[in-house]
Amino acid sequence: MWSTQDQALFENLRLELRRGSVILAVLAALRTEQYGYTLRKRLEEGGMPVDEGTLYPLLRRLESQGLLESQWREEDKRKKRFYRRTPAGTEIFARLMAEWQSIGEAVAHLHTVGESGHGGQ
Amino acid sequence: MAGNDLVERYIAAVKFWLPEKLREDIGAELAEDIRCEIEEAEKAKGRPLTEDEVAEILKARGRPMSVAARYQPQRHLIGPELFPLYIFVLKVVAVISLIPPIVAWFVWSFDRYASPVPASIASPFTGFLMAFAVVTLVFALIEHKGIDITKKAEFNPKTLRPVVDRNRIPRSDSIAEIIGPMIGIGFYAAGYFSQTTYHFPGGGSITVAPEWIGFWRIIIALAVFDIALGAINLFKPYWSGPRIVAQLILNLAKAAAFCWLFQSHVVRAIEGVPNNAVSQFQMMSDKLAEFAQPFFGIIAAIIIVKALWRLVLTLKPRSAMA
Repeated sequence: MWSTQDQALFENLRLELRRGSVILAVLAALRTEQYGYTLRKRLEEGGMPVDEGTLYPLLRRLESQGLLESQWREEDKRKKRFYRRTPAGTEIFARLMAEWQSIGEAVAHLHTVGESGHGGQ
Repeated sequence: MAGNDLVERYIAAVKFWLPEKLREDIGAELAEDIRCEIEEAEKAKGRPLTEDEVAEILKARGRPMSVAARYQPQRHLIGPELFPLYIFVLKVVAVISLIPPIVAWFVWSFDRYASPVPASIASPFTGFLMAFAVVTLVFALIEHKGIDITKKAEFNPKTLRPVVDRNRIPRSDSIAEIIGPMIGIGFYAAGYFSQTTYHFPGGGSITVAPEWIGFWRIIIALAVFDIALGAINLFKPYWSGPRIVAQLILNLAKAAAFCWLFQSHVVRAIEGVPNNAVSQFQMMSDKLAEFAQPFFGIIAAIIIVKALWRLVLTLKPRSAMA
């Protein structure tokens, strides 16, 4: 059974680990155009819930970096802001995904090496 | 919708904390997001939300100021690059700002002729607060202007200071510990400290208390121990418990000898010099006698603290890198 302190530590580390992954998840989810709320739902359903206080500022930041573009449009008689990846965003996303996979493989490899006792103590 | 008014008030409160140019844009998007969430909750419940339920949704989103803060770039008065230097300077300033009040307290407490301590000097808190404000302002300006005072671009690892082993006794200290007392012994052997009257080259003389001779006998006896300790330190230049204790006893004995000498009103008579110089000497001698004990107390405290600190450093296990 985990103590409260262990649980809090795990939670902190988990958040730290997730922080970088959120960008990837958002770029991945915005392969098709979406507005804020549907994007949140999609991330949640995809197992990557992101609270609105993190998501909207992140969308703005990615837009100011030229990775996303947005447009205000009317839908169901309400004005909504739709986001989608720019070509630059798509290119960066592909590179980040490759990097992400390489990190995953490296960590998995290090873990395997550690388990089999090579180079470990 | 029952909570429409609450949502509008919430959006208005968030907008208040946002920069002018972002207000409408972020406010509209946030309002839309909240409305979507409320609609979904209403669909799930099959009825409109009550005002309390809307309030719960808004509460979960956080305080308006915190929500607005997330849209803005991270801002700081003094950034992480400068912060360690800022703290270091503050520590130095804290120590420096404490010195004038301590000196003032010492002088004014024992000198009954002195005027009252000026409030600006006597209050360490005021002094530190002023210094704190000035240092913070200077660092904030450096941060704001982006001045690179840490000279990152010119960093050269070869210019880093060598690592000092804090337990090692510097050779220069040991040599000084041997040569200083030897000079003292030389003067003593030549008879310079065996008399109580000294003649000035330009005429006139000064007569000191008879304790002067006893004082120098004690100092010369201690000098022999000083030389022995210096010689040991020269060949085995590392502090150890017994050596720290020996140095502590020696230093305390020397301080006590000085205290004893000063208490004896060391200047007894002066001849052949102008009257105002005589009174100056006399006053100094009286002051020394008056302050001898408290001064010895302070010096003894410093010596003991220094020895304890040295002992802590010596007993502390050294890191693997050292």
